[in-house]
Amino acid sequence: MITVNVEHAADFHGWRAQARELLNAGIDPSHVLWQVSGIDSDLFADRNELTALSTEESPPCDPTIRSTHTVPRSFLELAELVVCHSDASRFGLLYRALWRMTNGDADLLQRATDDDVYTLTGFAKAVSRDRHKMTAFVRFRRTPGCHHEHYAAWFEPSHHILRLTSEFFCKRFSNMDWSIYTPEGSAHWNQAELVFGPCGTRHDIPQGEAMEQLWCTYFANIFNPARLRLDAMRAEMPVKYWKNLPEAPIIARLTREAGSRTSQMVAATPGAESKYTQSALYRAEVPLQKLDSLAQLRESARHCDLCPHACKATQTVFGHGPETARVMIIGEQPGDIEDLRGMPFVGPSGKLLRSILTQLSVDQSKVYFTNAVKHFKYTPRGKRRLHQRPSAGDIDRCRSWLTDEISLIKPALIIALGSTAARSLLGRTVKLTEQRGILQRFGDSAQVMLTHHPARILRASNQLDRSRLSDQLADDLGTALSHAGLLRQDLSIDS
Amino acid sequence: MSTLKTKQYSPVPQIPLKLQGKLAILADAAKYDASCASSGTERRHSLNGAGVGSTGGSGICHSYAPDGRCISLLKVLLTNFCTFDCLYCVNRVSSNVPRARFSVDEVVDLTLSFYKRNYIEGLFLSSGIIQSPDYTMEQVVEVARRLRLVHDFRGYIHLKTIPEASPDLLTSAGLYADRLSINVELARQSSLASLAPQKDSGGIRRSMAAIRLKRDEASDTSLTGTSAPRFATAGQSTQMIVGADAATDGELLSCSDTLYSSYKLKRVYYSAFSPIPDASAALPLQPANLLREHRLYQADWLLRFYEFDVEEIVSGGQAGMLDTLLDPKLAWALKHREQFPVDINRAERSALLRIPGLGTRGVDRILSCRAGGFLRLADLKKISRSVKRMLPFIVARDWSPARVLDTHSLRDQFVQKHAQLDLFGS
Repeated sequence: MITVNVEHAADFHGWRAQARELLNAGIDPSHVLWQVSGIDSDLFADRNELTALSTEESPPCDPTIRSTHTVPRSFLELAELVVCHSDASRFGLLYRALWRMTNGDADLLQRATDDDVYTLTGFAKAVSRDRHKMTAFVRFRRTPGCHHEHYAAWFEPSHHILRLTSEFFCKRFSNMDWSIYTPEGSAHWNQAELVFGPCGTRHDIPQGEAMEQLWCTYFANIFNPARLRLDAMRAEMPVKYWKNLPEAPIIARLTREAGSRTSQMVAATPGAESKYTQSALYRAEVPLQKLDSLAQLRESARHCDLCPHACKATQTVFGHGPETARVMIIGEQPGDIEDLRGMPFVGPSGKLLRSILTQLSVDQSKVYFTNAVKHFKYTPRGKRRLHQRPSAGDIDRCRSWLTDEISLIKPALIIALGSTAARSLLGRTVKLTEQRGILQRFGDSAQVMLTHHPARILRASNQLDRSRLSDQLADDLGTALSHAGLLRQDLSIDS
Repeated sequence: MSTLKTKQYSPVPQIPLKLQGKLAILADAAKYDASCASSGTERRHSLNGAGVGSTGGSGICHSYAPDGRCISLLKVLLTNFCTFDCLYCVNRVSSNVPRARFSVDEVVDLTLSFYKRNYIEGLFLSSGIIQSPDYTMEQVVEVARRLRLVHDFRGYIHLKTIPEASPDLLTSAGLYADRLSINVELARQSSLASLAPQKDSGGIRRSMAAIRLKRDEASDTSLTGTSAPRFATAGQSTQMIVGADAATDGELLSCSDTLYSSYKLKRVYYSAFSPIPDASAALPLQPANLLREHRLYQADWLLRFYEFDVEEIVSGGQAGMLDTLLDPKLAWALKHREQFPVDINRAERSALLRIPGLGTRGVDRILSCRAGGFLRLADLKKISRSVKRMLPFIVARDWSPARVLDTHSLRDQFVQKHAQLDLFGS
């Protein structure tokens, strides 16, 4: 039997160095006895341990124990926690797991059902929890009489976590001096260096502080007596921590009074309205300017809830462009981005369309862009919204907005992108394959061109289809605009 | 030193109250906001700074009140004077609760004093709407600005956003805050119109959309050149009141589903409408329905992490309401017994996620353990603590539920067990 010593109760580096040697010597775990040599006999040692903290990041863990024996980084992370556990078997268990992993069972940690893995992960969990509770329940008190700010705390952890957890306090309270005393040792930070010292008692810290009264005031008033749930409180803030929490002594009173406070609120007869009600009540400012007719139309459309999916959309996405526009381009419905920004053709399809228009030298500020359907219809899927095609009913319900837009703007040319726009414009379902690319008369003075919706290009499964559809769309747009005598004249960027 | 005091016009009456009294009033006024999260933001520390503060990883709950709610942040209102008359709200203009107002520096000092004593992770600041939405928002943002720029505070800041405030103020709020939130309050737009006549549900949604767009911009790395400024790295959240109107669980969950997908919300909080002092005569009080609230949170989890959709979740209950006696996954499974038993040694991830009592971590462990051989019940006990609940729904190497799933009384058996364990029982 070999006896191996580590220097202190949570000596991860010592364990790691010893384990590496044992492993290299091929010593079976059953022949090793692990011992802690003395409880922090070297007072004020480890002055250099935390120097790495002053730099941005600690040096990365070496993922290899020995060049021929590799263990995953996750094992070292586990081991760093496990060595802090109070169970005496922890060092031996860790070495046994290491032995097994380097002797043919590399994937050991993946098997939560293995007894050693189960115990080790249980230890790590307990240490993590204890560490987390320490970061939560340490309560500093300002030391009186110090000319600079100094804070001190007394804490009683369940495992050997002071060293492991001190880093958290250094990073958080970097620019104040503090000391944390525990029954096993103490940690002291002077804004540059972390030093571990001997154990302390609760008398090492100031007894009470005025700020604790304010904290208790906060604690008492953030509590809602109408929702008493002591079990939930105790599960997360176990009673063993209460003796060092300044707010704990008032819990009993708050609990006792909760019932009567609640029933008083429920039983109270509502009183008169407060004296401020009439003088202070908020009234949103309503713009008084005279609206022109397109603006009026837009304003009425803002409140439209004719379709059932209107309530799921952010807003009505009405048409955008000058009332004097001679060209109107109609799409299907707003997409995700259009819905968020409240503007038509600003998402991926819009970008594609606008790049084609730019290639055709069309001044887009002179075009009126709109959609057949004014609300985004979609299916929620996690953090995304999947576009849903508007039904014939949706199109027909929304149609009057488009009809009004057309009769107000009186465009010379209307371009309908996709079958939804075509149906809304013509009032019937048309076969796009048959009618695409043909300039048709619309009413007395306008012409209509039906063509692909740019989304169809984006959805195409292969490059060949994509470029074919894209060429057709560009051709159709070019044909329509030039036949209507609009290309390179009224709409040209540099005319 | 000047002894002259300029008297400024203010429509808000100033009541001289000591800090302690103000804190009592303004914490009391803030407690109906359930959110106290301090997680999900970027990693920060103060080693290279001039002040205090760090964030990163999971948040820390520094205390728990006897209502079981965590206390992670200093959650206060800047003022509880408010010009809105939302009937469910303790701070509505028509209420006779005592009023108070913090100065910007008072909140800054309180936050730092509490933080340095490790009482809190940071600040959650909200406010009643005074003078104008822009004025109120300016004050709220100023607190965050001073904490960050004057004191180099690197802890967590959550600001409540006022929908009517200007876009520039939203930009600065996002620059200083980790999280922004706007409460939708009620799932039914018609309820909002009748209970909170000054609020505009359209404005609330457009503000949420603006926050999402700014977050998208800030995280967009595809553009070269100057990147958009930091914006609310811990995202946005919202809250809905449960039980102040007749909206069903289905309506609430469907609203959440819409909000998660539209605005990429981190969380939707559900807050059972709870008795408040000086309640409105138009909205009678009743004890807070904590059990309903609890089931909604469980359902919300199924929605976000368990690949359930709203319709499926609600199908576990009746008439759009969840079964309050059972957790929603179990309630769903009992009504869809044809989908069980699931073989834990063969089933895909999506089928494992449907097993009552098995969480996402348990599912991941089962999948990674399969390589080591067929799993038995003893193995499963090392993976999950609620194996008993799973038994009727699973097949393991040494277990098959036989006819258990055909038993009519299965639901009753579960209801009885649940009642014994129930956190809310009595």
